[in-house]
Amino acid sequence: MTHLDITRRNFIVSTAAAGGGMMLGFYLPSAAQAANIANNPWERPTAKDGQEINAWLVIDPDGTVTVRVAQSEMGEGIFTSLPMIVAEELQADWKAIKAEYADANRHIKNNNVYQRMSTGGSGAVRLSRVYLQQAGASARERLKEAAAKDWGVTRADVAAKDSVLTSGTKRGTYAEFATKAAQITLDKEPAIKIPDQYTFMGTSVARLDTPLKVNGTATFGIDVRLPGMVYAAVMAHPIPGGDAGTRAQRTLKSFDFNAIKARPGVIGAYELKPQGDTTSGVQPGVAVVADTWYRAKTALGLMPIQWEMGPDVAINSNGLFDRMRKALTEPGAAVSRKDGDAEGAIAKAAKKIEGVYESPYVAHACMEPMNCTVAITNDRVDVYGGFQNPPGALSVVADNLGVQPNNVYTHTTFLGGGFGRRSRNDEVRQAAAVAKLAGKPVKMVWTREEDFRQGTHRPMAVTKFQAGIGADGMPTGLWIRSVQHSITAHSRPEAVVNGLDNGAIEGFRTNVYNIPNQYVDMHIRNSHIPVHFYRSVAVSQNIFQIESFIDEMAQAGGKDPMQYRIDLTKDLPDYQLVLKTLKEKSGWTTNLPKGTGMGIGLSVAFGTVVAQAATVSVTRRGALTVEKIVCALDCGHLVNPSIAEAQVQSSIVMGLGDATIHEITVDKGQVVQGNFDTFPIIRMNQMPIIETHFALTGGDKWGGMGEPALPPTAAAVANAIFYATGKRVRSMPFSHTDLSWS
Amino acid sequence: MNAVPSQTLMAPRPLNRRMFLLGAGGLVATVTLVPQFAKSDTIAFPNNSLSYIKTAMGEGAINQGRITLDLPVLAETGNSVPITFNAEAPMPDGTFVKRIMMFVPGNPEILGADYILNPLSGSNVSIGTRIRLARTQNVYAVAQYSDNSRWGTQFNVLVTYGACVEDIFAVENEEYLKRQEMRGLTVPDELRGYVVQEGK
Repeated sequence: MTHLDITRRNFIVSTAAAGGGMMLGFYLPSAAQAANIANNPWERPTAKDGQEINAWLVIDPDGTVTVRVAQSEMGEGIFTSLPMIVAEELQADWKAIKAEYADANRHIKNNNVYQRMSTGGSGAVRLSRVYLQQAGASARERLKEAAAKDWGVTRADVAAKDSVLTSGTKRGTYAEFATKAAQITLDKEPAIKIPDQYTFMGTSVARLDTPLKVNGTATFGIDVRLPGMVYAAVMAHPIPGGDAGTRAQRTLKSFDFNAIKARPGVIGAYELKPQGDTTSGVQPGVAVVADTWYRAKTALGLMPIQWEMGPDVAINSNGLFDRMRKALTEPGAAVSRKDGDAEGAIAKAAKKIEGVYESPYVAHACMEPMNCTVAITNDRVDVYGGFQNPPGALSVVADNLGVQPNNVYTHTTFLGGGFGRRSRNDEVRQAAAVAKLAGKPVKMVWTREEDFRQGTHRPMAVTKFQAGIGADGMPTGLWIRSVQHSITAHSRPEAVVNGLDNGAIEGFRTNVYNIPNQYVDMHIRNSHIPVHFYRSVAVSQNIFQIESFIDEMAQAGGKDPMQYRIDLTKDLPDYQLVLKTLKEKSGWTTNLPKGTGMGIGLSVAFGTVVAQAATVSVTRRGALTVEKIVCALDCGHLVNPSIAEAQVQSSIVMGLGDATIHEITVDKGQVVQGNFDTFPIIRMNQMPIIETHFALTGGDKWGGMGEPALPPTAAAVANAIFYATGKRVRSMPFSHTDLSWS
Repeated sequence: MNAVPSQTLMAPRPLNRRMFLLGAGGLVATVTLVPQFAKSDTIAFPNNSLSYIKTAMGEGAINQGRITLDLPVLAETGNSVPITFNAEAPMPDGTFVKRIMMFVPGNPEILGADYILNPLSGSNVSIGTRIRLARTQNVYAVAQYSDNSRWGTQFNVLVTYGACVEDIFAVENEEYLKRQEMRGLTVPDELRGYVVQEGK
């Protein structure tokens, strides 16, 4: 796909400031600036066939170095930060670096040569850094060795920098020695650099994918075009998920294709038979295939469909919350943590407090709706889409179609938002089924309504906290019982033993506070609603709950919440650094005029410690404005500070949405919300000022950056609301709580 | 986990026992230097592996030694970790390794490998394969010799990214356990695990 033609997207339209005329600005990327990544990111960014030095990098005759990236670009910047890691060791000229996705088919054929190809757990940099550095260092040493051999010197006498090899007066480029380097095996692999030696990692270089996204040539899943391709719109059963028992009663009864057969472009309508897991497999449903997606979607919308609803039609959100609240007093909770005697300490305490906190299901709401394109031929299957787990997508297609994984080729596009949603591969399995039924390459795209309706969503949770406060105002005991919809209990039940899913109560079980007597247990109460990892997973709802209660405890003891947290983490140097940095940079105070307030939230996720202070103002009538959020964090080290800062900002936006407006509710077994009118997300005019401060302890710490800044936001805002209004918010989203004050 | 209680070790063999050469006509040479079945330390295996061991190898203590594990100290991914079992065999009196079992208590399924050998397996028992590790854990291997003695070993492998379970909070769990230890709080075995209880 070339992008030399000026298509509609290549225009940047600007209006003249005065005189009312309209000026069209044309932006044509210069050759040097363009295409560090091919607009189809699975393709080679250069036309030439270069020399592969190792699986991770190819050197072209003109010196271009293509780095293969095993994670998926969903805005978190890995198409830049991961090549930076290789470049640090390789010592190639950054201007000559290009990037492409690693090939999942090769990965599975070559014994997982790319180590880890899933994107999640804020793990792209922290989990691949060592072997990426190793790949770059190995290539560099082999290039040096090739030059050394040629020049009759030892490798130690050869210097490598900016794609140039030198020794005395001898000089050569990486391109010249690439072929020879590829033949060389080192008897000992070189040591990799330690952070103190970095000269390039840690700098804020411009992202490689920005030009493609600005000029619109970046290919997302919804942009894929194949020759002979047709389009599918699908509707799966309006009551999604469930367990095997209820799903068997939830069926597609009939659909009347004749009613839409004559509509323009309509090719066929196919029944989707249920296959595989009840939430990540194919749900019962129907697909309409046409020559354009609009025609397919319109026809599907007009086609009469009869569903058997099954028993889950009786389920609604009120019932689900009631069930969870009831479980708080039911026996059989699974114990996760038991230090000392929390119950006893609380019973004896000078003061006791308790609170129940609630969080709903929340949709990932990726801006790009779920989609996948599948092309089946006799000898291979090609699958296109935004996959957070390409080898996973590969294997579900192989499984669904009954073909050998070796003959399945995935092509990952840019992702219009992942947040965990795109690692489930349910849409991939469904697209493969449609392609097989249609007998042609098919691009399947969900409507926004289908996207909300089918999930999968962030779990709901209800948690009860009790604490004992001593005469000195400090806590003597903390007791927590959480009722959770457990992702693992559905997707991997064998991993949940005796009702204990420690992942679901992350943040409770592992809270960092030095409180002598602590007790944590849980109940699992799953519903039919399909759930999956949401950005930051369990802590996305758990931190709001515990951090709000920690504030309640501080207030019950007459303590300042910032100092309280500093005191309770005195023995943890990274928490001390983060909290003290935040205190200073935010100008922390609880002494603002009524109607304004500052609040704090603290959490850790994927090794990164984050604290945020939110400043809010609330009108007397209860309208909330989040004015500013100051964030201090310790992720150990940074590869690209500006990309990391962008991750903080985007996490906070999502956390703010969770706090104030995001909510998925269930009625008659179905998801109520269908589009962004009923599931609002944070808009530009609601954006607070965000300040980010990196307070890094370095050393061995390499924490993630994609998710950890999300959890503290809701707590910081809720705690600020308390200081502004005197009101304690105990459920998300805050839109349900009357914040008016007088 | 509880240590397997020590039981009576095999009685030491007489020094001048005849040595059988495999496939030889049976001519015997008296060997003056024979490794003693020295009294060794025993090794405790995870509770949930004991029933497997009992069914396969009968009862008895597992001595430390004779079998070694070749494993990386750090596996960047648990998907495919190379492992080699090496066992001393045959012993001078002709005992040979008849069974090797491997346990991975941090995985959803604790039994990782099970090899049944016979005298023809050769004089250098060395088995190489690749295993999946869900998370950082001790890998245990036990070899049973034809004289029914059991010899075992363990090796700790650091897995930075678990294979069987998306161990997304493994870092947090490790930090939590370290913190508890630092604060002088004991975390009992059954509460140490993360998603999967150790040795299901």
